[in-house]
Amino acid sequence: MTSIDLVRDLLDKRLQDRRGRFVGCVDSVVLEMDDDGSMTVAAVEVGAPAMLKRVHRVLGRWAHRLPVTRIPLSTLREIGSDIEVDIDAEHETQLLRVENWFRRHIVEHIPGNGR
Amino acid sequence: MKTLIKVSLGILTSVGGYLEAGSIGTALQAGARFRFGLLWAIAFGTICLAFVSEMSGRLAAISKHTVVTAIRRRFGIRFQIWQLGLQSVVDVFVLASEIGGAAYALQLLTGISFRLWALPVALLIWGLLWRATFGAIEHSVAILGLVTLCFVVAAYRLHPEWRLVERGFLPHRPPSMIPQYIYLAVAILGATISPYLVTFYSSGAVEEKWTRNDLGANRLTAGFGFAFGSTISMAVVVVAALVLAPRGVVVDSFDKAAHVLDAVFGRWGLPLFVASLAIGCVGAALELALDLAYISAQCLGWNWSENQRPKDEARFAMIYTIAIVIAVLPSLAGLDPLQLTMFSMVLTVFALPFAVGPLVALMNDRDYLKTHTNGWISNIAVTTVLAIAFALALIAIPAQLMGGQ
Repeated sequence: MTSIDLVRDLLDKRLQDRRGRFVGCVDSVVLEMDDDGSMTVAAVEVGAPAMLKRVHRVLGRWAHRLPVTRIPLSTLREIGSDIEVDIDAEHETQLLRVENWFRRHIVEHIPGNGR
Repeated sequence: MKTLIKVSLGILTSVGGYLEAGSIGTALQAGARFRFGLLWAIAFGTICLAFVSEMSGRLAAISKHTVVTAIRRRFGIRFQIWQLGLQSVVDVFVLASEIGGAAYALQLLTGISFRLWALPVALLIWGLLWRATFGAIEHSVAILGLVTLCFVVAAYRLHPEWRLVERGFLPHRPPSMIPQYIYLAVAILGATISPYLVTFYSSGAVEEKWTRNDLGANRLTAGFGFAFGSTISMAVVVVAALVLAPRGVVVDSFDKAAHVLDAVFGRWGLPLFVASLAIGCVGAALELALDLAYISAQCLGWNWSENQRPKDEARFAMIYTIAIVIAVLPSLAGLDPLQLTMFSMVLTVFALPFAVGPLVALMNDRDYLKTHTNGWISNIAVTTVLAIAFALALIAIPAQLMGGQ
């Protein structure tokens, strides 16, 4: 068992995926309660609703249609000043859904987007 | 040798990019109304800015994180969202002032209304960000910006009584118009210690991958860069004091000061004034629009870089695009650029305590700074800046109401 300080070590740190891309910050932490009542950290969450819920629940409700991605704790590799995760954000998760939407619907229609 | 080149480039960038709508506008008004009486505000603001920038550069060099990333990690999103929200609003207002300033400069040159120039100016700024790498933009703005040194030449050639100029470096009670004096002092400090300069500086430091070997260069760049830059602002005050004040000109819009350089440069006076205002404003607008994208990306943990292509980080490109679209509206609506600038400078003062406050904690945190935490001089400096920032934020509104006319 390794010990993690949830607020100091996880919350609000940047996540870097397998390809070295920064894909968001840890916006909240998901705990699971076992049958015997013990708690384990299951995953971290990334996404506007998770983030805004922490600021104010009304803001969280406004953002509820935006995607939230759960990243299982088991994929967290190195927890330093940033957190490295062993996933490919582009292909294995929804982390870049908003990014991809903007790219496909707006940016790619404007000339010079690749310089 | 490498350090020397790095420092020179840093200083060149600060000098060439120093003057913009806020610093020109406040300096012209200060000189025309109070002659040399507000020079101290520029000097004092510059010292504060140099200290705060040095700290943000040191933080970046040691922790490899920008101020924004570090604040999110240390204070969490619940604090940062308000801080960055406020800074973003302020940034958009200042961006609007710069677009207005550049458009107004073109009006002075062509006689065509700034309302018509606003859109082309905004398109130029957006197009440069979209197409060009930032390194190229930064260096060309710095070189072109050296035209603003014409104010220094003019100040020198007008032969001010240096004894009187020196006296301006000590605050003193003006014989009359005390509310206006306080108001202008607040606006000058707002124009000098802009929070965006600090977040922008630390982004540059991370981008250039500074390490502990760059700490010396950081200190020199932050110190001398802003110091040399601010002499241009001071020169604007001196020129306005010698040319506008004797004639009793009240600079309530940029056209009142358009011929301020004619006494020295003759028929080249107007083109030089126009070039200084236009280049200064466009340069600052580029930085502000980028800074808005930087702080959003850093807070939300996206990839960010001045050189990434729009399609590689679409959200980043969208942020500066939207910011420019919003910021062009006041000029399209015909709001006077100088009035907008003065309002924005006072607004800036509100964002200041929230930008400086977290630094007090961060700069003493060994998790981030290791052995390079603040010494007592820096701690006294940053606490003083913070205290003054709070005081300014408190008197800003009364000062604006009483002295803004």
